[in-house]
Amino acid sequence: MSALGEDALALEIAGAVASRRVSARAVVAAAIERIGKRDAALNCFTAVLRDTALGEAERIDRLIAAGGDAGPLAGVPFAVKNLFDVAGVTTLAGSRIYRERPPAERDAAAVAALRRAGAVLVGCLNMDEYAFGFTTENTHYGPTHNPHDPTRIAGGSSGGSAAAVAAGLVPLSLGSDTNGSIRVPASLCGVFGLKPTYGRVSRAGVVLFAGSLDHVGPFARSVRDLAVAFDALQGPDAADPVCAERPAEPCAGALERGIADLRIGIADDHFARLAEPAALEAVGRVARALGASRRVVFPEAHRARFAAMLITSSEGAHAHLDNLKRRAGDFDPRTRDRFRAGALVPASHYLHAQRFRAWFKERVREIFRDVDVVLTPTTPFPAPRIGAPPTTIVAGVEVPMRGHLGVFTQPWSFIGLPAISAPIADSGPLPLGVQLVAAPFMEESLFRVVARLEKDGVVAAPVASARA
Amino acid sequence: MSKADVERLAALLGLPIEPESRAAVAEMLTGLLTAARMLEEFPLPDDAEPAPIFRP
Repeated sequence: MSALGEDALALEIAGAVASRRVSARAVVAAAIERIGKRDAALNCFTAVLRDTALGEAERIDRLIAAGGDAGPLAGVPFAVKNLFDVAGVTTLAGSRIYRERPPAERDAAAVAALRRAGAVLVGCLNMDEYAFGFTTENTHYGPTHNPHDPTRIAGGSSGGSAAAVAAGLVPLSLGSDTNGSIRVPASLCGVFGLKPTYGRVSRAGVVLFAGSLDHVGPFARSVRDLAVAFDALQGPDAADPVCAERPAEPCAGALERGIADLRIGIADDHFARLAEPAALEAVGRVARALGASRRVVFPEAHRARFAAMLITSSEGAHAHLDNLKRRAGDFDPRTRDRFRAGALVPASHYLHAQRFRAWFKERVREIFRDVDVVLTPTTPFPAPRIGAPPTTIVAGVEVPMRGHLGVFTQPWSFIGLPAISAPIADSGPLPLGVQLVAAPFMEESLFRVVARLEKDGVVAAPVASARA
Repeated sequence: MSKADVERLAALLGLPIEPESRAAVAEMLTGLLTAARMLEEFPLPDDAEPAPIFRP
């Protein structure tokens, strides 16, 4: 494949565009052509912004021709989960109801940040309705298909975001993560996905699902692409009331710094049970590559998951209560009754879950004084089939097929810790991710470890068509 | 949690739920209430305040 084929990484494109070896217009036109040819089978995109994308690419080419700096992501095509506001486009959030809303007046902060860095938005991506799901089996817009096996789910709720990158349609995308909605599809589609620290990246202009748990973050096929995108995204924003006032702490410059000073542990107990052997073996491979053997137990992690479920259900239901009362028939049948059940949870249960959250945060903070990065499986198994039965057997126990996908991601988003899902290399016919978790605002530690793993060939994200 | 329980709770909230959906909602609410019970079996110290912090 040429350097600017479907397998071109974001920074390869940016370098070629900045040095005028290729035009941004040609890169963006090629991405739109790939989407036109392949997306009918994958169903990643709900909108393709052909004219505005080509116009933006031409503006970048003119800027570079005039000697200007178009930014670190000059000419890089990207796409966003359709819960990010995009100026001139109606923000669907995976729903039929929001289709009636007027187009957004301005870009979400994260979209604007990538555009300022020179990236070119080419479209909006499929998701579970209102981000309530791990599968992107959306009844209104159809399921997104996993590029590694189109009979299987892409994961969710940011399924379109992960699949579009895995298929090589775009090298970069944005998603959101409340309980695992970046990390789960990253694992199932075999790409890198970052859920930053809660409050690290602005959510202004994003349709929230459960505001006290919602994060946004990038997907990419290389660690450096992921780091450069994160660096463009991070920083304070008064328009998001939970965005941290802490200044940006760029990570791309730290990737070569090595890991000699980092203490790496393997999460035990909750994180070593109810997973298929392949998921646990992937963690073992990463641990051996890093020379990590210390096992770390996080107390009551299973209860953290219960608390996350209660907070998510209550906050999510409250956000949509008016429409649940007035027009329940317009909801996706897959989410409607879950929202209704959430609406009926007594307030005392919600508050108890928020109190447990404060307790769990302190216990985990104490543990991270003695360890810098912790390894867990991202998902307990690879991608299930689209329309799979509601339950499956894992380690001899019957578990919900879809809900169990978040068993290892929920305890971390519950307390806002940064986490990366990295795709294990040569995982077999289907991808699987390993999750790396750090203390709040220590994304740099994660990036340094994942960069080492990528350099040593332990993790890799080839485009899906190149796997076969 | 029965269909009738769901009907009564939903009425308190002014949330209409058609009869054919009440069993599914009851099943999901049972799951959430089981999660709440599992959570509340764990004793929290009195000084554990809810996580979100209000700053005037």
